[in-house]
Amino acid sequence: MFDALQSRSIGFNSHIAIKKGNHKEINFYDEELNKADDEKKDGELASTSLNAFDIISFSSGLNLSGLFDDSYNSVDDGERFVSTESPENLMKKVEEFAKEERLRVKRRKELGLEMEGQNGNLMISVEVYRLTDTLFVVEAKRSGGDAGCFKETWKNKLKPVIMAT
Amino acid sequence: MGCYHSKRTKETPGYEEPTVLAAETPCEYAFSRGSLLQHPSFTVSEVEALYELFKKISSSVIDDGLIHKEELQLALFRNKNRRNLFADRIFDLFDVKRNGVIEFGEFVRSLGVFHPNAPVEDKIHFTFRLYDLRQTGFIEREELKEMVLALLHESDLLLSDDVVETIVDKTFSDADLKGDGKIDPEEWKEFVSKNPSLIKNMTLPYLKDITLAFPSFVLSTEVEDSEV
Repeated sequence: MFDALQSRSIGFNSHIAIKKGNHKEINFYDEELNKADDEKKDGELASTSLNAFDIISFSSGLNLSGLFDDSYNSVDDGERFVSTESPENLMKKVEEFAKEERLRVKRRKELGLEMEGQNGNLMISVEVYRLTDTLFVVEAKRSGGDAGCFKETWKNKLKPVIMAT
Repeated sequence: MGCYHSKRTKETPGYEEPTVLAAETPCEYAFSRGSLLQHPSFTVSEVEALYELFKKISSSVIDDGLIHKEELQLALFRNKNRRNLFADRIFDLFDVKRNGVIEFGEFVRSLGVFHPNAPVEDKIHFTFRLYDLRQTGFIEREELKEMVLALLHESDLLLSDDVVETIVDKTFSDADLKGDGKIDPEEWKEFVSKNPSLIKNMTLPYLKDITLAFPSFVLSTEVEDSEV
């Protein structure tokens, strides 16, 4: 039973699991919704831009998941910034990073990917959105795993790689 | 002539019986909006689990069994003093009675719209009201720009005013089909149907598994201490 608890570290409140004796994993990260979005986006032109309401949807004030998941922290668990670099270049950098750090790429789309490493303790998803013809929004999120791992890896390793010109 | 009544120590102001709330959430709401879809409302145990969550949030700053804005801010941002335009709108929409606090009944009814099985129409309408900052019944261009600027400020994203104007203009021309300078509920519905990810925030997968995350140990039958 302990193994089962250790093997999935996605926002899993192990205290509650022991209480309920229930192995059903609580999916604090909406993988199903992400998949549906992926399927839709792959079918669409990759050049679809973010509209103003898309931008607004990024707000952590509109993300009520925080009410349920104590481990989720809108401030530490992700970052977005605007970039003028081409998304293809950005994605290439991220892929190289994954290779160097021996991270497994779990899901890959044209302008985004999810990678995992350190025995599931590190899970990062990176996505690039088009804002205008020359501007893009890069979003890096903790998609599971340990918050400390994510913060450390993002701040000290991946972010500098992405921001380097 | 003593008057005995059972001590309901676990109840908070605005508490409503789980069985009542379970019957009232999404199902009836959908019917009242003319939707013919049958879908499950919260079960009684889900409402009880939500009560555990409600108790946690409503006692975090002021222990009075009501959710104050600071407590919502604490729950969303881990910082009770963090102000946010969108959290304010969420708070206002949940506070149906507009008495400055969110009671349990309001909490459950509002969260019902976020259930994965709640009708999409309800989610679309909720976001419309969310974005209609001044509650004029329309989303005006100024409101849209204000919200974009609020988001940029919140996330340290830097964009020039030109870029913001361009984005707002384009969005507005895509959404404002009648070209009258504002987005009405029909135009919004049409716009969301072309951009379904716009209501992504309106579905919380957690709500399907809420009884696992917040086990409730409340007995389903409550025994009265004595008869009057």
